[in-house]
Amino acid sequence: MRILLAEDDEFLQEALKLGLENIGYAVDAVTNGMQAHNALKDIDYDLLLLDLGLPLLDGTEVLTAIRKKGQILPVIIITARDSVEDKITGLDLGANDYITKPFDFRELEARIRALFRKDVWNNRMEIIHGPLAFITNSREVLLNGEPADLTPREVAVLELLLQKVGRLVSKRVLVEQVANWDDEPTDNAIEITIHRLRKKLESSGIHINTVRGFGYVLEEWQ
Amino acid sequence: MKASIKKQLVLWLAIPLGGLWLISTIVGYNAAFKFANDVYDSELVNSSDSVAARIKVKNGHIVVDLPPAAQAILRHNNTTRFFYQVLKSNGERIAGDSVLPAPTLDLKEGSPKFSTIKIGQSTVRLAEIKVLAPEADTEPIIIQVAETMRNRKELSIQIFMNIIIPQILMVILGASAVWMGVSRGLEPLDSVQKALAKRSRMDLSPVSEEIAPEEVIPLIVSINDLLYRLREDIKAQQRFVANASHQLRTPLAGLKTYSSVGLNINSLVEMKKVMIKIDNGLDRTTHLVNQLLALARNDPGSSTYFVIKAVDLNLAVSEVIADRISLATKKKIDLSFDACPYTAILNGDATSIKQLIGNLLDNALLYTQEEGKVAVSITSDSNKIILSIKDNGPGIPNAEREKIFERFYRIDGSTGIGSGLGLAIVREVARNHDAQIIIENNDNSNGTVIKIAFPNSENPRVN
Repeated sequence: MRILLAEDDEFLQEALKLGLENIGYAVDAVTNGMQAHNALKDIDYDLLLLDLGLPLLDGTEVLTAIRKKGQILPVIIITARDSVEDKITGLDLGANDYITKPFDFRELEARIRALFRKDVWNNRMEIIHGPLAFITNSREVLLNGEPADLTPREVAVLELLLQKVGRLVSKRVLVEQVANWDDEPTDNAIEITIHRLRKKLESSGIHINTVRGFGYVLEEWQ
Repeated sequence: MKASIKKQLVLWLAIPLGGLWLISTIVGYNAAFKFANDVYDSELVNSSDSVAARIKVKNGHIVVDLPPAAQAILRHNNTTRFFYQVLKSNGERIAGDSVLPAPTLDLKEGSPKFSTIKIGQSTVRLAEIKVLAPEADTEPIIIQVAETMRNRKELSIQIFMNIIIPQILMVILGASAVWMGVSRGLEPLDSVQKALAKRSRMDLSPVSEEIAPEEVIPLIVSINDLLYRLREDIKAQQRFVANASHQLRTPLAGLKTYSSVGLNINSLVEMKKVMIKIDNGLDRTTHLVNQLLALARNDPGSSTYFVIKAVDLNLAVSEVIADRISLATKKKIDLSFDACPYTAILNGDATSIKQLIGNLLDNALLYTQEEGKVAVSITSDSNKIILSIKDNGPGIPNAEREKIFERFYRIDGSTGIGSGLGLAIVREVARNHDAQIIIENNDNSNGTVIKIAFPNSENPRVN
């Protein structure tokens, strides 16, 4: 899951980036509306965390522009503006949630989880794939009821594969979703991640097939 | 009572119009009465001529031959009573109605004398004339003729009515024309009023000048000017609320996030990194609180008691600079100070003045790039002591120069830990010390020169 964080206050921006990365999201941070606008053109983010009081291009303008272009990614507004009018305006412009500063980080986490649960998992709490269970809230992976020993990157790749069981997930998408600007994994690194994931899951009868030159398919459970 | 233009106009037109009507009524009444009197008076003289014609000399005696039939002719109509008397010039009665009073004896021949007298209950008009009767011209005879006033009254009322009724109609028509004209004339004002009344309280757009007559346009221009200032005030207020909540809440949100994140970190090394962040964040919050308190202290509404005493500006600036040397060194900024060659003493509050200098210097150091230049100088003349802080930083766009003194305002895209209060404090301190703030461009670069011109209280250069 890759998140774009648009916040002009460096202190809060660094704090949020650290917190979100620590729970396994890939985070790109920008400090003004123009940068946010441009970043959204290049990469399919799974979520935009948007401050309203951004320099150069106000947060509401960024939001208006992406909805006008038909971009469907969920947006959470994070702002100091706490009037009911501001909230209504923000939500009606196409935001999915609105959280006012100062907030409790745990609440922000929970709201992000709720958005992803709805958007990605259709409100399912648990994704079952044979002996494998993926807990959507905690992003924990269980194998035969036991916690599987996976690295955050392996979980991120598995999460994407689980979203499209039996269908092709391109290598490009994997690179893009697992990466952030500071830490861009190579195709090679993805191959290594897939290789390790296979090794950890194969004994349970879960197969990840390679489509050469394209990507990978998580085989449907028979 | 509120002045109504309509009522005022009608009143100011009605008073002179009513006055004119009153005068013309009085004049008209007098004219009608005089006219009627004159007409009947000459009739009366005619009657006396008719009586004179009837005077004859019979047997050496003067007699009047006026049979009842002739008397009836002398009456104009049945409603008037007619009296006559013929006397000798010495007042001896010859004939006629004895009810008439004794004659005036000093009458001139041929010129009648008229008077109004009472006979019994009725008022009568009496004409006396001394004539030589055509058929008894041996001696002058006095003839008195009188008639009751009824005819005259009727005629004068008739004349008076003919004058006054059209006038009343004219006054009524005039007044209603004025009322209607004024109402019509004031309709545009009414539409301006309606246009304003049906606005929502959020609508502060200018009123259209097209609906108003020429005389009302200055009023509309003033209203629009007021609306403009109100809009600007509301915008500034909205900016203030947005900026204040951003500046106050964002650092708290950062601190709160770091503390939540820190709670979930097990590695001591990682935890320490978070603690350093929290420590920096608290420094920034402390700075913010200090700035807020400094602002409150210098606020015009505060009841702070300032100790006003002589402050040596040269000394104050060097003290403030000493505190910032390390910051300047860290950014490799060339920081210089040209003290005033004369003593630069001003009356004021030392703490506030140091805050003013400190905030200006902090801004210059914060926003000037590394290896930049910041030059502080003090100059004086007989009126002013001028503190000048010049940098070669990015400069302040003209459009921002008013707003930067607003509380919590920060120029779009400003980085760093500024609270947005520094220049607001500078403004309040300057105001409290009757000092002027001047922002100029640095001629040699993009940078800024901020000058604070204090009044020179000591006048040390006067010889």
